[in-house]
Amino acid sequence: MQRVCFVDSLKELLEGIDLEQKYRFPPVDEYSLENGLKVILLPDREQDGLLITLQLPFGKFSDICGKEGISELTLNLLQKGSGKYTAEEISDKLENRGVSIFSDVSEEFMRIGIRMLSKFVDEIFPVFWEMVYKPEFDKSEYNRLMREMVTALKAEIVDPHIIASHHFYKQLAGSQHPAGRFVSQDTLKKINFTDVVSFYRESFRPQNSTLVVAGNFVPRDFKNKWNKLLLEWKGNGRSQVCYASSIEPDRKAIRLIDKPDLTQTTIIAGHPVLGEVNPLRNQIILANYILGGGNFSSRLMAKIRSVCGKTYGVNSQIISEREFGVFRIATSTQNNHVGEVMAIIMEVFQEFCEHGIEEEELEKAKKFITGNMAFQLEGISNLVEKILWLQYLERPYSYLENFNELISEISLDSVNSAIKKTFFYEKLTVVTVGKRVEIEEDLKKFGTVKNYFYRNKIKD
Amino acid sequence: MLHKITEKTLRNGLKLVYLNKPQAPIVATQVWYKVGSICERDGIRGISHVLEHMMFRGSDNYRSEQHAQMINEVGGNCNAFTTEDVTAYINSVPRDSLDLVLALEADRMDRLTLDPDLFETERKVIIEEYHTYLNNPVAKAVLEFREEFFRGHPYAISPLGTLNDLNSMTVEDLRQYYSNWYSPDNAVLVIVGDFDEDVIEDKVERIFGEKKQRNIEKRQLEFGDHLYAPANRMVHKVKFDVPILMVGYPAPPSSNKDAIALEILQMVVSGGESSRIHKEIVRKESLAVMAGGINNLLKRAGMSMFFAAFTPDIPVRKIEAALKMQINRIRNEGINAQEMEKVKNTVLTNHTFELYSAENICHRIGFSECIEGNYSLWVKRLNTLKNIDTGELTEIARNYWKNESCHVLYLKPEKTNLFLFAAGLFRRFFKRAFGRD
Repeated sequence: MQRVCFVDSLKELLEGIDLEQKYRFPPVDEYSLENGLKVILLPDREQDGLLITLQLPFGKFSDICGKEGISELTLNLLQKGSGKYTAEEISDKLENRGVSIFSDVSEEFMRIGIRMLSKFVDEIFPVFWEMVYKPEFDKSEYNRLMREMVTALKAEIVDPHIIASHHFYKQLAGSQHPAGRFVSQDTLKKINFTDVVSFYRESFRPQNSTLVVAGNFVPRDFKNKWNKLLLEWKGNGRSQVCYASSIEPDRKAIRLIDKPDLTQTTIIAGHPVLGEVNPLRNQIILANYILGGGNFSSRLMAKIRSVCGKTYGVNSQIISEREFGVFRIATSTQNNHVGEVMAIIMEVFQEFCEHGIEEEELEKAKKFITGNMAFQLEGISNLVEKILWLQYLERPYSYLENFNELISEISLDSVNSAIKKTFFYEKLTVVTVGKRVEIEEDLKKFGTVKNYFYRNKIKD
Repeated sequence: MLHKITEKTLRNGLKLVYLNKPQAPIVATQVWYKVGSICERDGIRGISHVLEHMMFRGSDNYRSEQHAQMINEVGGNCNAFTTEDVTAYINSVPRDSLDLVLALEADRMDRLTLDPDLFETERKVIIEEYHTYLNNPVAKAVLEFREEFFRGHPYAISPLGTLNDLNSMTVEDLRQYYSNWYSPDNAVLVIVGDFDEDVIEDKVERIFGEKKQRNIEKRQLEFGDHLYAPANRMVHKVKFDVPILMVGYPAPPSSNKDAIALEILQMVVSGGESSRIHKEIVRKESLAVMAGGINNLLKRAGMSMFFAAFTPDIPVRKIEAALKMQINRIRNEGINAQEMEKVKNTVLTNHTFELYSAENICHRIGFSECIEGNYSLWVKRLNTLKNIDTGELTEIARNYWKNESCHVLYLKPEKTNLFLFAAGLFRRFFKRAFGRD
């Protein structure tokens, strides 16, 4: 009796929760300078931190064909010397003040920034800005960075997830598409010092860039103090920005990459989808949550982990750039379970493609996605992330403010119709990395198997 | 903000620590149980971690996996982790769902189902997790290194346990272990975020107040002090292309007053590109490609570790000598005022950015309370740091970073690429002859 009361009261609790709360994006001060640089200021007095991030619309997909890795190399080299300071002086100046510098090259954009206490801004901002607009490309620093990148690549070669991911994209997109090309020791060897300098000149221009400053500062003071310095960055106009095109799904042979020391096999299965420009994007996000994006609330996790105990984790993701996108299921399982896990993945995915989802599942997915919005606006790091994401997609702030409403209005029919248009059971590309002699026979039950060795060059 | 942290211990021993942080409409709740792999014995190695998994497999009022599903349904996230000293359960939810989290956590504190069939399934999941580590050559070697480093102490075996014990463990073992260690007087409930602080104590009392305590404190006293294994040198041939050298020194327990001093020293030696080993070994001498360090401070002992990744043409003895030279310099000369300033600024910056996130604060409070002994040690860390005398640091370096207690692990690639070896030699020759790369 007591137990029933307990559950009832919880039900009431859940029913009382406002899941369609509308969030207001904090006010930002946004302007463009005469040199074309876009500046976004987000004052936030919660703590004494300051986060300064510069974003450019070039990433891995913009790397020169055959010279993949050039964007990462260039971005890292910026930190290794500027007009006034050597690499060692830069790290001393920043780290002595507790400042950390971060950089990241994503598929279609790159970022470089600093995280610091706001009280050091006068001392540190000029050092950071000089790195951006007046880099001193030093040959010995270039060589050192090259060695560092080669070492990191050599370390990656044993990681089954990275091997699987590279083969997956190669299989899916081929070498003609930027998604099918990636940095390797070979591509690094083809880059020379002059390439890096040219890449910088072509890409790093104020007209291409967005600078976001967030944290404890006064926008008016920032403008008065730093706009003049920001204007010292000259550029020859906006560079042409090309985003990777979407591609059509097409069934391929199963790739088996042999790594004989593995006791566990990594499996990736998926196909291309339309990226962020997809008008059905939100329907697809909800559908994917139910299939494998929702952790323990997802069908794949329930079946493969919770019921069968055949994996530590399985998920499905929609990885979206602007136009290009990928849907993929990823998991790992001991070699002797590969056949069984593959069969479950196929069964769950086929059922999903053919019959769609149920109303109750959709409601739960909506509740997660709308409720989770609160976390995405906590703290300046999350806010900056959202601002830059909106900039990249050229969406207004109201997109986030109205997001929960958009999600709430989505009907079951529209999701099931989107599933039919987006997910194709018969066009899955499957890549596995494991011990060939233990998994090949099992894989043959699911299609033609093409064999590769993990150390060999990744080919189309 | 942190001066507003409030604590209250319920009659049954459950300690509540909370902080109202209304900047975002969310609340982070964590329950830390003071039980980890150190509490295990032979035959049940890995049981703390197994129990952590089973905590999601149903209790009296919730079916298997319902905890995670209900948290997801309100837009929240939940997770858990097990270390040598603790097992912690993490829930972050929108502010209106705090009561839901408390009800879920209260139910599994003493009403766990431990269904035998579900245990069999979960055992398989955990063995899969174990294999994920086995398939990473570096992670595997590090596990073996710590096994040697902590030989004779329960810390020698990682919280993952052993495959033998994972296979032979029974549901009865789990019931016994649960009954021994999961008790309000062995738990700390931390709540940080946007909630009504006027009613929080009453609410927790109402939901957790009736839980019976099991007097865990007495059982914990059975652990003795750790005697470190004698210095050891290991060479592991690994299927990995990058040679790596690791050196480990004994470090104090995290509650020891020397722990913070060692953190400072570690940062000076290996923190960032302005650190001594980066400047000397990576930049000036070009011996290593990357170098760093980490302090693994546990509740009852610790390890202060440094590592370097290098190219196959560099003799490992040179790397070891170069690392030790930097450590010896600290032992002999101490650190300078500028380095101390760097540490203070770095700690203050990290601390400032931690405070933006309710979940991070929650974690720091839980960690400090359960591992270091009291959450106030985290709150007062900056003051403690300000008062440290640099002369004292030299003495502490001498006490812990002794050559005779240094453990060394060399991860040697099984095969050497002759082309890269020759290229490396050529590069070094060129550098010596012309003074540049």
